Amino acid sequence: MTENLNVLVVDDEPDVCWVLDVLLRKHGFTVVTMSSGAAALRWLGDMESACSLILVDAKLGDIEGVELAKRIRTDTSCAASVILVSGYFYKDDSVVQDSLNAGIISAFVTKPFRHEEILGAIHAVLSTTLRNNYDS
Amino acid sequence: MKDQVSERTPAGLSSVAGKASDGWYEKLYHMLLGNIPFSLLLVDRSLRVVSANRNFLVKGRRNAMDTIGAHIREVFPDAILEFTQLESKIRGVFESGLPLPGAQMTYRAPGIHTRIYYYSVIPVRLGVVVEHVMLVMDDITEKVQLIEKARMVERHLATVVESANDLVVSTDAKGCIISWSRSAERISGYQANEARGLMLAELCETAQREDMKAMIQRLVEGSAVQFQEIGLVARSGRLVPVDWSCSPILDDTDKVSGVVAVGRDLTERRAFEQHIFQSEKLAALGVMAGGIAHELRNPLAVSFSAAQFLSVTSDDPLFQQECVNKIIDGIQRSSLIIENRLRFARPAPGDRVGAVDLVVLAQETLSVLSPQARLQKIKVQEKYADSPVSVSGNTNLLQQVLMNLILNACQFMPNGGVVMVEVRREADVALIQVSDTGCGVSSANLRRVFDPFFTTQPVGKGTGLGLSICHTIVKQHGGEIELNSVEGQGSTFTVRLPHLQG
Repeated sequence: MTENLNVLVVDDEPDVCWVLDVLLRKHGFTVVTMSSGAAALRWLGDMESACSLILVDAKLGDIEGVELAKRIRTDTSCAASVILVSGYFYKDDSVVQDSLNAGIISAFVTKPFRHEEILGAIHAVLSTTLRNNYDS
Repeated sequence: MKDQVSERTPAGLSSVAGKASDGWYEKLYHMLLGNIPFSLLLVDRSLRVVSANRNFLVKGRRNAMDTIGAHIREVFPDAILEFTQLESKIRGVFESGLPLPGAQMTYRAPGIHTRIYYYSVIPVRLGVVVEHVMLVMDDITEKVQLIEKARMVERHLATVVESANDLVVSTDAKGCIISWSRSAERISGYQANEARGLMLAELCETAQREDMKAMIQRLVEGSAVQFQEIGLVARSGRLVPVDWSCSPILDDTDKVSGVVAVGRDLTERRAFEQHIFQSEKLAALGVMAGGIAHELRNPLAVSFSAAQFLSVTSDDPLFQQECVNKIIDGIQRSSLIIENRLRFARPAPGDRVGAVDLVVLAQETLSVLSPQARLQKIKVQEKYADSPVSVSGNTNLLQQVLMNLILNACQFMPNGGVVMVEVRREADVALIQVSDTGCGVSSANLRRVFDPFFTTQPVGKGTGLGLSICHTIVKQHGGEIELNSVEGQGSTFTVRLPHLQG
């Protein structure tokens, strides 16, 4: 089911990009990594149809992760779900809760993470998205 | 003068016994005796009053009618006669022919305010026989009261000086100790009798003796001096930090005859400041806590994931090696982050002073703070002199100044911006400038930013002590700190410290 699904990873930490790239490729995804919000928006503008899921760091050099998630909705036509992957916030922080409730992000994963934890979150988000797509 | 009047001119007093042929002299003496500020009484051998001058009659509320010819027992109240033994004293003068030296008498009579007299009894001879004696009474009531008042003021002042917590020291114009208060004894361990005669400068810290001499010299020359901190070396060898406030003692011709030095023992304040500095430092650490967590979790996440990759059997030795390297890297990075923070958080002895290169200090401080600034979308620019810019000071305290100024700049820019840190030398001044592109400070608040607990941040965001502590530390290092700011355009803090030569 994950075959040929494009995942965009946005994190300004190259080693974190390395981790997610290795992990997701091992599980059959195609991975693209970007180190800034601006680069991510540019790439999405060009390649929107090819992206199925976006993993975003909470604190990027040029933009907040939550803000980037909003911009993806408003500035691009990409409909892919966004998962916030952060070492800065806690799950019960109001920013995280509000963003989840408003549907700006679909899941939240704290760093450091167990691989089964982040993979579980990704599969949960994707299955919801696919079911929604199927329903509609 | 009393003697002259009585010895030479008994006639002038007497209206009964006198045989003045010259009316002019008689008039003159009456006029004189009537106007001198003494009470005079001429008494004959039967102790009856022969003559009394106006001063006596007025003060005693008597008139000539009931006084002239009366026995002195009728003229003086019994209590006075008993106490002064006046009768027998007068008889004694008649017998010996020798004047009675002065004594004090307190005259109390019904309806009259208490008066105090200094009196003497003088024999008045006619030939060899003592015909009369003269009682000369000098009213010293006011004098006695004045002296008592002066003594009271003196005692009062002495009590104030002795009970003061501050050291109160007076010296002559050369700086030689004249008085040494009880608190000076307590703080220094030197008793007043040991301190008296020593030069005040000799009791100061060796390196600051010249400062004390210079301060006294300036006062003697008539210049005003400001508060100055000069350490006192106690008898035990302990160095007592003392803030001195000195003023000149002027003599009647307005020449400086000495110096009063009031010194405040700063030992407790220093300890308290140390405590506050440490608390503020921990509060600053709290501000950075978010940054620390974020910073640590990235390398931890990488190491954690790399370890998880390794736990799943892989037959690619290159990938295995890559994972091991990522684990080691991540641990080293985490360790470094903690290391930097711990070095900052550790309390350091505030009195360790040495040469500090401000360039190195700024670089180190920014290495700790830059991640925090990045989180707030703040760009850090650094501009340093090519050669070291050294000052004499305490590394930890000066780092705290820089830390507070940079954190403060970051707080001024909630929506990001640029913070510029510059270290350079201008002649004999070492200069640190921290500028931001933030919201600036209104001119009304400009003067208050260095006040303790002044803050524009919401409750819980800042202690309001950071800049006040910067001010204190910079002052302690003999420097100055100033703020230039235009509301809405940003602020520049400038710290000037004496440059350390060599």
